[in-house]
Amino acid sequence: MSLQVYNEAMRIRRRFLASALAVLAALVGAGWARASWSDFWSRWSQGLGADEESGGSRRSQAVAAVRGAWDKEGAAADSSRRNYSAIDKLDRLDISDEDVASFVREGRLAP
Amino acid sequence: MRLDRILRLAAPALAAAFLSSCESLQISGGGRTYDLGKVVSAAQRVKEALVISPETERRIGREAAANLAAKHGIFDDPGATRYVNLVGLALVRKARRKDVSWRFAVLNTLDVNAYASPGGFIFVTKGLVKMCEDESELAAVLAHEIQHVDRKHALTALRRNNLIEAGSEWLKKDLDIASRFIIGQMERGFDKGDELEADRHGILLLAKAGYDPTGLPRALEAQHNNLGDPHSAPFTARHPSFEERMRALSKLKADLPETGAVLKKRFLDHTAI
Repeated sequence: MSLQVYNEAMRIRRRFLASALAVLAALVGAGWARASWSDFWSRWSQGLGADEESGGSRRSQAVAAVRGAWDKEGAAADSSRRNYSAIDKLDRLDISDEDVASFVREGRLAP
Repeated sequence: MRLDRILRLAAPALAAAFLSSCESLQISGGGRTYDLGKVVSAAQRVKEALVISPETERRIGREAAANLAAKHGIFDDPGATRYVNLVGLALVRKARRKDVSWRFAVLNTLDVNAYASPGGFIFVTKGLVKMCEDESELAAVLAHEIQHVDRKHALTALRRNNLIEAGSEWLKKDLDIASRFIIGQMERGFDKGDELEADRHGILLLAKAGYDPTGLPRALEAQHNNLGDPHSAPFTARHPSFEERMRALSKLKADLPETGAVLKKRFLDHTAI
């Protein structure tokens, strides 16, 4: 292959890679933009645009809303109940990877 | 700067703005169809759930799980608990996330319901297990709930409701607020989009794990047929309509295998509830 043809091939390859990266950046940017817009719209429609100087950050208003809803539903006491020992018991379940593999084999599930 | 150079630099940003508003991003070529929307959705989800570490997620989820355990009690049958965990663990081998310590349990109530708490705590009720006819139906329900954790639906909701800020330092001081929100949401249910996404990816997970994918529509139908039962009311109130869910699932038929494991005998041997 002559040097000229080789250089041309490399140039075309660089342009193709640059275009592919630009397309990928556009797709990722679209997802990021969509999340940001969704976030902005959610805050705007909830009317939580207050800043610190006006006496309430967006977060503190959201926290107040959660507490208020909880108290309104009369579920404050209900929500504070906890049974940690039952959950810790689940962490102590003795199931190994081999147990799962054996279960999968017996059921002829996908390996 | 030359105009063409400006346009070349601005093109990705302009494309991003345009693409973010598109509903569908499928392109066809070489006899195949490629869904570029998956890249967009993945980037969207990453940004939305970015601020919470797996450790913090598990702490929030543990609080909500402990609340469920206190309210309903865990069904005290080691055999049934082990079985449900094995079914769940057989499914999560094929799940996306590998940074979750999955735990499954049966709640001691005859209400038909299932819950997914962040950090991998998945619960089904005695009532729901009794409603199922075979292992593929139980696996279908678990697969749906696994998707709520796999896709970080609860964490995204925390973010959208302004309960999370960049850095999430406050979470270490105010775990109570985050867990209360999650507890409330588990009773209210996720939004319709998240529920339909859990159905869509749940049935794909079910098939990938080797179960009969019709387990999910059969489980939905069983629940629908029990509509008059007061124990079914909590489940019905929290999800999109039966017709809408079945319509959405039918669109995936071409992507699913026709058969898979049903395992009725194994299910009945382990769930004498």
